[in-house]
Amino acid sequence: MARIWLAGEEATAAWVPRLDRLAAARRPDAAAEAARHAAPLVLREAPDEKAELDRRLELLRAYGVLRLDDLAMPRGRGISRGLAALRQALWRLLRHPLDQVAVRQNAVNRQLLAALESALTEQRREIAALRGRVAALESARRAPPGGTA
Amino acid sequence: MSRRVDHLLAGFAEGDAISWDALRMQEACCEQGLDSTLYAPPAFTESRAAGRVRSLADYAGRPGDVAILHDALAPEAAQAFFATPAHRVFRYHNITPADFFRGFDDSLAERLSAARAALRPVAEAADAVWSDSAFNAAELAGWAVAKSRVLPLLFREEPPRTPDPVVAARTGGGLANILFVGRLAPNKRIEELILAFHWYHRAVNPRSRLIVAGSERSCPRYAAMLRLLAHALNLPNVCFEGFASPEGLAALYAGASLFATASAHEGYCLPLVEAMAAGVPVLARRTGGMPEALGGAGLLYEELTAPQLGELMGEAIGNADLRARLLASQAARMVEIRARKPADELARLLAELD
Repeated sequence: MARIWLAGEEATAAWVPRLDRLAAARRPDAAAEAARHAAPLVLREAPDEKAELDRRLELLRAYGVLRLDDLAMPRGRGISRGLAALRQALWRLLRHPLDQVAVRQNAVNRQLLAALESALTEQRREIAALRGRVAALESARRAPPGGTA
Repeated sequence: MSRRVDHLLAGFAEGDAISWDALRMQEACCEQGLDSTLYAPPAFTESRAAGRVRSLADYAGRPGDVAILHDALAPEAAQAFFATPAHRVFRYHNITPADFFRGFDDSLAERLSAARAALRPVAEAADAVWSDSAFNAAELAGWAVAKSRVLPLLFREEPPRTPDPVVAARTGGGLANILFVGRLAPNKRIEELILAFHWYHRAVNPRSRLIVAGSERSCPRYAAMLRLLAHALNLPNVCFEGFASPEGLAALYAGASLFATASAHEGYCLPLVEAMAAGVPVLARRTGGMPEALGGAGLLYEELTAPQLGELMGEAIGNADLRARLLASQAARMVEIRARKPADELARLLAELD
């Protein structure tokens, strides 16, 4: 049951309904829906090292690409119109060199990720092949010697 | 020769709660005119603390002295503890239950299980057990360790540190900062904070930021999961700061609008006291030793959903009346904490050893 204590006194009766009312009034259903889906998706426990490695690669894919479009242009709330215009002009001027840096960094990140994924795939293929060979050898060793007495 | 009171530690780092507690106890001993030294393995001693901590290999206890073991998980310190002819005191700071780590780090879970199993022999070998909270003492009582006395975690405000300007600049910008300080470990339930922040950021205040400050080394897989969650929720304003220096922490507390923790298991939780000392409203789950640390101050909750917790964050930050009441309760609690006399408390416990 949801309960709240404020400065040492239980305040559940007043505060839990208040929080529910506030949440219901905002109705950001999409946000709640996203949270419900995201939590089990990413937080389920990786059962082994392989799964953990896969999740780290997923993380690299997620963070490895810099997107300057995501950065909002400063709108200059609370500052004068002239200063806001200056900030926006500087922002536009800086975008050109920043774009170049981002493009180069993204190229490096993509190469690194591709190399890592390729090495991992190759390593897993080799391990699978070696396991097959070990299994075949063990099976041959356990088999009775050929021929009859 | 005067009596010595020595502290056997697993390691020493500035900002670490156990290290700070041992340091405060050492200061309390010195106030009484007792010799007191901190011992820890050099490999686990922060380089800038090397002057105030001696190598565990140098420890030589004498009959009549007192040796205080601060961490049952540390094999070297426990070995010295069992071998010493001095009075043995075990300072219990709690060990996180292994189940929190299963799936995330099974080998650590096994080590924690082993450490909990080893607690009883350590407690039985001790002449006294001093728990740093009543919650921890109750936990020991559950394992039939009846001789535990409570000496709440010692806290003393350091001389004001200059806030790290780089951290201050990075976490400034007029956004409402919700701060969490602590190791990134599964018992801290940081994912619940992120989900609640998701609601708060999307529905209540987009000009906000969740700062998670703490070492990621405890459980790297859990830390990676948290980053994935923040990404999946499209929350670039969840900032993972890593282990913060004292100057970095000063900057984080100075810029925080709210300190929040959803931790499901804490023996005491020193960051709650640090936040109160910094004048930051505190929101915490009502569990473990946290209600004791808050001592009737701050905001506590049980079983809130992410939207409810997100709305509560919003109220604690934006509701002036609530904020004033919280800060007043926390100021009163800090008066109590600052009025403690650690030297007297320690003297009473030491007298019981004779």
